[in-house]
Amino acid sequence: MKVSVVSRSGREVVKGGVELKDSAKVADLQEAIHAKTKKYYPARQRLTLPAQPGKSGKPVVLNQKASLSEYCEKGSGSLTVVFKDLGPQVYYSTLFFWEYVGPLIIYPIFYYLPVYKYFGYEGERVIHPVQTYAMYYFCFHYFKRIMETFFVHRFSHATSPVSNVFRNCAYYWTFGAYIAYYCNHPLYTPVSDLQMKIGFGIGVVCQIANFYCHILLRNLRSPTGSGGYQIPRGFLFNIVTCANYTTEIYQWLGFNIATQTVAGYVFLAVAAAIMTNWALGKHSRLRKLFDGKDGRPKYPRRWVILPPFL
Amino acid sequence: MSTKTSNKQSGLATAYLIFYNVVLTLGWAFILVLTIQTALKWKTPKTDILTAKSIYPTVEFYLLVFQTAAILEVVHAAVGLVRSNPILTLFQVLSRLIVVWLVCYPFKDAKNSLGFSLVCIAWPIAEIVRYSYYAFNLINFVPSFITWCRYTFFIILYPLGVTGELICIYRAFEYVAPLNIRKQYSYFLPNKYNVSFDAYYSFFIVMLLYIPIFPKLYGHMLVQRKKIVGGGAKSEAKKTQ
Ligand SMILES: NC(=O)c1ccc[n+]([C@@H]2O[C@H](COP(=O)([O-])OP(=O)(O)OC[C@H]3O[C@@H](n4cnc5c(N)ncnc54)[C@H](OP(=O)(O)O)[C@@H]3O)[C@@H](O)[C@H]2O)c1
Repeated sequence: MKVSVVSRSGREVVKGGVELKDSAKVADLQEAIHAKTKKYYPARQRLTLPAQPGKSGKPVVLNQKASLSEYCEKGSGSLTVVFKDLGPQVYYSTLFFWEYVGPLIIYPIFYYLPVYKYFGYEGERVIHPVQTYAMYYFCFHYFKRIMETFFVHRFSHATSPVSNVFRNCAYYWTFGAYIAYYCNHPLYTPVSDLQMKIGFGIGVVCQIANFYCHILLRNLRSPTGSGGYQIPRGFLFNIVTCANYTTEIYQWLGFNIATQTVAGYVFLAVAAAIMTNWALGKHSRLRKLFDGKDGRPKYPRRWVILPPFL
Repeated sequence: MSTKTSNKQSGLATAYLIFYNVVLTLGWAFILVLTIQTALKWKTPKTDILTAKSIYPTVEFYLLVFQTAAILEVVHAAVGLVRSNPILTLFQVLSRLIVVWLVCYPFKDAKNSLGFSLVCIAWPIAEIVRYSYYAFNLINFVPSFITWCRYTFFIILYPLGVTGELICIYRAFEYVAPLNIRKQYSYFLPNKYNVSFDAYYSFFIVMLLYIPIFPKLYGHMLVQRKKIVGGGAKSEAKKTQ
């Protein structure tokens, strides 16, 4: 079978096209493109069918595991695909590792090292118990996320564009430093002992619940990461679509009740906004996927992320 | 900065948007006229431009009103009147509002600087072109001259404006550096909510933020320019689409 590979402007990406066996899969085509172009390894490639004149809407993305003949017009022995370079890629686990390792290192720097000298605060620093607990809590949280990245999550996409690393690290690292600055400040004002206990109590319970949610999500997929999207069930998922985000949000709320800094609440608001945005996307995708037609199950009625509001 | 109007839009919304864009075009034109009038009266222009002599008191009211009115653009995006991203629009408007309300309005050193002269030249011209482009867009009749201005002037005006803004912020930053002055504009720890605000560091951070944001927006506009008025000098002949 002859496959011509063109860019969106119609230019040939692989001169003379690619010749493949009729039984070839999309993955084989990607390998062939890689072999000819050297630069574009499979994860960098996005292959779509050319837009049909007159038909609007999103172009059809070729599924890596599908066989090429599925995309051919009946009888014709040739195929044209549109190639887009997604840019250099990194593994999702690499991306997440760098995101989370920043706060994990930055926070203890503020706790242990005499950084406040450089902000003009001289003299002895009295460390309140809540500041010590907060340091352990914060570090545990990011340690948990790194462990989950490597040992729990089963991602459906292997890679992400490199540019995301810089954007996401900027987000996590600056917020980490911003919160650490206030929580470890020599002029920090602690809350009452009771409030601290309630805050950390809520936080710990929610972190455990969040971990359990991630285990449930993991079990929706086979160890190879295949299985696509399923209806998450059990525990809080019976009530909320994105129970892992819900528990994540309440977990930060617990931390903030215990430490009471405006910086922490600002982070909570931003994180909640980001997760709500994603949750809306996930909810509508699951509802579309499980529409109850043609033998597909119907997605049950659930809250999206923050019952009883959304 | 694209503020394309959405297709499905009631006549009332269109009428309102035309009104808004025309008013802002006129407002900024008036600010430009006031600036030029003032500058023409300068006896020693070479030194007067360095202190933006008499410009601030002349334009203050109009600058505050018409720049603040840009908040409505965020509202337009948020309620879906126009198709731009409300968050991006917010950040663009926010930086201008900081310069106007938190830098020039309170600090003499900022408003009497070369920076303010640059701002009063770059902003009005850029805004006149931008708002009139939107207004023409709404009646589906954009003179190609306006499109060309919209996607060409920024090449000079944008760096000019940003330089002006940075000079203003830097002057305020310098002014608040001594601790006794900084105290008047800051809020320090300790307090119950563990929150503080330091005018000096805040100005520093605002200036730092220009480093990643400016090249990004400038690059975005260059790409838009390539798409809309065609590449460099060679392909001046426009592609008809
Ligand atoms: N503080 C913050 O700003 C912030 C922001 C985001 C996340 N977080 C935290 O980081 C955690 C991970 O974030 P995330 O966005 O990667 O979580 P996520 O997308 O909800 O899910 C984690 C894993 O479960 C899989 N999964 C999700 N829904 C599934 C379904 N219906 N069927 C099968 N598999 C499914 C995902 O696969 P895919 O690879 O296909 O997505 C992914 O591997 C969150 O739970 C939260 O604790 C914090």
